[in-house]
Order: sequence, then structure tokens, then C-alpha cells
Amino acid sequence: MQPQVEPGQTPGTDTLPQAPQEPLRHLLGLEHLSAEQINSILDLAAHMKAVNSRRIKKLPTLRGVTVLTFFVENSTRTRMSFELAAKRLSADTMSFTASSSSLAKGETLIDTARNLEAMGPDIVIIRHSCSGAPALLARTVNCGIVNAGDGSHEHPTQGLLDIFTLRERLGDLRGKKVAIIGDIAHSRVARSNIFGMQKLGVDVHVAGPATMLPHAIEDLGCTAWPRVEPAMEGADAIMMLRIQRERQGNDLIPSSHEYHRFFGLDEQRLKLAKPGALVMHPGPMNRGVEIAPEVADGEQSVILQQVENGVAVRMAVLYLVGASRGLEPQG
Amino acid sequence: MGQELLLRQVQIFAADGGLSAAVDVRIADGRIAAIGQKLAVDGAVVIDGAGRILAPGFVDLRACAREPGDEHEEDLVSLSDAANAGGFTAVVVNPDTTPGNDDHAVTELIRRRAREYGHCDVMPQGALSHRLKGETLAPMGEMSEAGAVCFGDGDRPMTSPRLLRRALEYARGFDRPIFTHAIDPDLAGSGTIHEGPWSTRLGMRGIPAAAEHVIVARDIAVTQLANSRLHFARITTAKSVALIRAAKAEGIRVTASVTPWHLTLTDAAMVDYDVNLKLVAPLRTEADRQALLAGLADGTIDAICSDHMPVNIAGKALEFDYAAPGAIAIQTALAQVLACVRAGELPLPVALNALTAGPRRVLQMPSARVETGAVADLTLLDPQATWTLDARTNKSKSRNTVLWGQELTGRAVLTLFHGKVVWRA
Repeated sequence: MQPQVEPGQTPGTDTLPQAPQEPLRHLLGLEHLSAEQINSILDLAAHMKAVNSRRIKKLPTLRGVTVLTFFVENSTRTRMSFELAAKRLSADTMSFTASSSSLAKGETLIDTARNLEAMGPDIVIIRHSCSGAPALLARTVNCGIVNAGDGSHEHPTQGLLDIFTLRERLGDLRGKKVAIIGDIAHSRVARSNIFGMQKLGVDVHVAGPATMLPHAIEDLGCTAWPRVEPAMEGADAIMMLRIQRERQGNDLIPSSHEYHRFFGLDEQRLKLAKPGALVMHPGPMNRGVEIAPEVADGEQSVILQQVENGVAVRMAVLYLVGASRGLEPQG
Repeated sequence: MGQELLLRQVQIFAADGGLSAAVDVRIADGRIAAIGQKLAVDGAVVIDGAGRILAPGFVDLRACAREPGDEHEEDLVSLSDAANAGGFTAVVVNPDTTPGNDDHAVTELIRRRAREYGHCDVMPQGALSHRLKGETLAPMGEMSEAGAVCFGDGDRPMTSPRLLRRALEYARGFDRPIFTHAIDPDLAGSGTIHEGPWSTRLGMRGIPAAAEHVIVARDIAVTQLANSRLHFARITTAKSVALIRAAKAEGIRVTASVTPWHLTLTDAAMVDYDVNLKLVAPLRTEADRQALLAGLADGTIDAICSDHMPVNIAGKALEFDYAAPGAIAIQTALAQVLACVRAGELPLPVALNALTAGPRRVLQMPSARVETGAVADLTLLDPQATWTLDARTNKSKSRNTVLWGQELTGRAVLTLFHGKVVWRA
């Protein structure tokens, strides 16, 4: 199981931690992962992060493995983060992008996926505007599937990198209060974080205008508020979600101006949280809407660290999915 | 006419809801010729009925024939076969075909094609509005003459209560009920499954229960205003059941049916994003399911309809959001309903009544009885028989059902249409 490190390339000290008992055949979401699985991914990510700080940022662990990024919804930065992660593990990468509407009109998702499968990728990273599309793919093709965001369902690697960032800064997460603010109803980032953080004992509070709080959200175990203040009060970290500009035409909020006034994170509201509380954002930000520029750039912000950690977390995920399929180099 | 039949030792499902002691039933010349003990064979084909129940042929108030226009998914012949294998001898077919059934020429086509095959009484639902657009009344009089038994715009929501009122009023002159699919499209928005904990968990856009019962409440009021008859073609929520119960108590002439899916499954089944569970009327909660069962038991809900919706594989091999809604069910409806009976959730007479007398009452058809002289539209069912819906047994041209490949318990073993054997297991 131990990945091989080429002599002379890196200090010989590093051995990656043991993979979890339960193999990670796919990563479709955090809902069905155990705390142990999440922790083992994060432990591995910590080692990957160390690799990323070296001069030669490369491991041979996925040499000869083909990783396909299959993005049926635009996201340049998530795709780049995954591709960088794959390349740092020496995998070959290829990418396929399409708009889901054009797919829907012509070839079906299943047909496209089977065509791509015929080219022999080992791991497929899928981003799709429809919830459940990665699950459909996992049933259809014989590759490891990594969900890079599906509709309003999950974005598990974002959740993992957020939890990784929290763990790095706060240590043991049990009993820590995290506020997630914004359009919870349509946010896959929120769901993955709600599922994942609670597994590690975080007290998760979600808040936003009630138009953005989905039905029965508290059934997921978190606490929900129609105003942000009670969620932010005493929080160890505040995560602001992006307000989709394309959603402003609809009926969820009166205006981005009003949203900023009542639901945005500014310096005044930040004082409700614990001193030194972390400010997080999955990006891309709308400065002046969900987050004030001075908070986004302030010293409590860990937004860029989230991006950095994203590469390490994705390396860990790709490694584990590859290992579960016997793809790591032999001997 | 044809071969005479002798059904040995069957239990007859009586209109009062009970099962008779085992008797012999002789079928000749398209009718029930005799009922009694130890009837003489006299050259008849003998069919063993031990442990089996003889009921009037089932009537389905809602199925899609896909003919004209989408015969690759289903046609009137394959629908007749699937219906017969499910124990049905009469089926109301939806008007949302291509072209839609908003004209007597289409109604006549459907009637003629079904009659030429002669295995099932196919009863067209005529469109309520011209082109099913919900704007102006369709020619209900001419369609009634051509054989339409009820009017409605299929799955299209009735957005205009004013037009609904006019349709209800106009239909009175032709003694036809109006069928509606109760949903407020504005409140339902782009939802695909029930809005509840599962839509939240799965990140799916929800259809709130209120999107149905605001329309049920509205349509009850409009029905009372128009002093006419309205049938809720498939209800799914507890609140709808309560509204209809109260309306009936008030003497308002509304009826309702429910599908086997809503009697057996809840939104928790959506966990795998199975496109075959994407239905026009979404699966609701366990509390809703219990209320639907209770509504059947106390007569608030009159009928169980299959809501048979054949969809080609290309319409289902898609993301959940893009997949066409609906499931085939006409062949499995009995087994699905009998699962409720076996679970102690539904008395057997209630279940059979909802497949036989209930739907006939909705259409004000003469009540069907298994008695000497009656036309032999009959279903012999074996509640214990096990079978599997697969490529070998499936009669539909489509296979969009979660029950595909599963072993089911209970089936029609013999179906007679006007005395003719149209299905034998």
C-alpha cells in the first residue's frame, strides 16, 4: 500500500499514512463517510501539503494512471485544482468540458460517459449542474468517480478542504461552533460541510434569509437561523457562501444591497464571533455582497489558505481512490 | 362465440366486499352462463380456481397509451396486452398524445384501433381545452359522441379556475366528469421531488405538498360553484385526503384516485436518484402514505389507478433533472396493492373494490357483478402467485419501473374480455 518515493527526489523520511480500513472506491459525498475515513483523508492531505512545499512538488504514486476531469458545468478553478493535484501525483490528465444543456439536447450523459470510458480513464472527476449525476455515473461506468460538485447536493472535496483548514487552525474540532451563511438551499458546499463537520463533532449553525434555508434543514443535525447574528455569535469560524448573481433575478432576496446590509459579513458583525475567529469563503467572492472587502482581506481571513489546502486534499482523495482500485505502482 | 370455459372452485369477489365460498363458474357466449357447484364440463375448457379469486375486470382510470404519436413507447395494442396481464379490462387513456385528443377524430381513432384489437375497453379522456392549452374549451360534445368518457388536460395543470368552471358546467350537459391533475405549477416551480428532509439531503428542488392541496381546495370550491363532477386523478398528500373527505361530507361531487406508487413508497426511496421514481406527482412522506391508505379504507379515495406512463430508455438514461417523469405500472399495480394487503395496511376487499367498483362509480358505469347473465369481463387473480417483471413477461413496449427484475407476489392468472381469454399466465 505504501506509495513509492523515488530516491533522491525528496527527503527519505516521508511515508504516507496508512489508507483507511474501508477503501474509497468513489468519493460521491461526505454524508456516507465515517469520521475515521474523513480523518484519514485529512491526515494524508497533511502529508501532501508538505510535498507541495518542496521544490519538486511531485510524487510518483499515480504514475500511469489516467485522470479525466469531466466538467459539465463551468468551474475553471476547481478543475485546475484537481488537475494540479493529479499532476503532482504523476497521473496523466485529460479534460472534457460541456454545458449540460447541450448534453441534454444531444448525447445523453450516459452515452458521453461510456464514450469517455472507452478511452480508458481510471478516475473520473465530475462536476455537473444536476444533483445525483456522479451517482448515476458511478452506476454506469467502471471508473473511480470523484464528485467535484453536483447541483445543490455535495461538493465533498470543498467540504474536506474546509474541514482541513479548520483542523489546521483550531485543532480538535469537537464542540467548535461554525456558522455557514448564505444560500443554504442551493449550496452543495453547505451540505458537504454540514455532513462532514458534524461527523467531527462541530456545532454547525446555518443562517440566511429563510428563502435560502431549505425545508427541514435542521433534520440534518445543524441549527438554522433566519438572521445571521445568532449564528455568528461566539463562532470559531464563519463561512460565507457566494450569492449567485444569476439568482438575483429570482425571488429569494430583494437586492444584493439589502442582502449585504442584513446578511453580509462586515467588520461590525465579525465582532459577534470569538476573537480571532476564522473567516472562510469557498470562492469566488462577491465583494460587497456577502462579504465586505476589508473582512475578506483582513487578518482573520483564511480564504487563500483554503485554496492552497484544496490541492493537498484533492491529492489525498485521488491517491485513496486510486489505491482502492489497485492503481498505485507495484513494488 | 368461442370456447366455453369452466372455472372450478373460485371464490367470487362480491360487490358488497365479501368473498364467496368456492363455486364453479361457467362462461359461454361472452357471458357468465352459470354459477353453482359441480357444474358439468360439457366440452368447456376447465380452469382450476382453487385459492383464486374471481373479480370483475379491473378498470384503470389513468394510463398513457402513447398512441397516436409515440408508438415506440406504447401503443393501443401493447397497452391492451399489458392491461390484460395486469387484470384490467377497461382503461381510461390520457389525452396528452401527439396530436392530443382534443377532437372527435382523434377520439374515434383511439376507439377504433382499440376495438379492432378487441382485448380491452379503451376509454379516451378527451382534452378539456383546445390543444390542451388551458385557454378555450375543446369540443366535449362531439368527443362524448365519439366515446370520450371524461375530460381533462392530462398532466397539464389547470391554471385557470375560470376555464375549469366553464368546463365543469359544460360537461354537465354530457354527463361527464372532469379529471384534473392537482398541482399549482407556480408553487411547484422547477421542483422534481417532494419538498422535505429528503429533497434537502439530496440537494433536489422540492415540490411542496401545498402545491397540490391549494389546488385541491380551489377545485373543490369550483366544483361546488359549477354544481358538477370532478375527479382528482391522482392525489398524494394527507391534506388532500382531508379536504376531499370534508367535501364529500358536504355533498360536493368530487372523487379521487391514488397510484400504487404512493401507496407503497415514500420520498425516502429517492435516496439513489432513481429516475424511474421520478413521477409527475412525487412520492410523499410516510404520513401522507398512511393518510392515502386510510382514505381508501374509508371511501374518501374511490379508486386505484395505475398511472401507467411508458417512457423510452432515451428519456430515462439521463440526469434526474432531465429525465422524463413516469413509470409503467399497469401490469404490476395489483402486486403493488397486494403488498399493502399482505402488510396489513389495506383490507383485501378495499383493495379490490378500488380496482373494480370504485373506478366504475367515478365514471358512472353500471356496476359490474359476477353473476349469471353478466358480460364476462373478469379477472381471476392469485394473491400468492410469484412472478418477475422482465423482458420475458413484460407486455409494455417500455421498461421504466423500479420493479424491473424484482420478484412480485400476486397476479392476474386469467383475464376475460367479453368472454374471450385475453390473458392467461
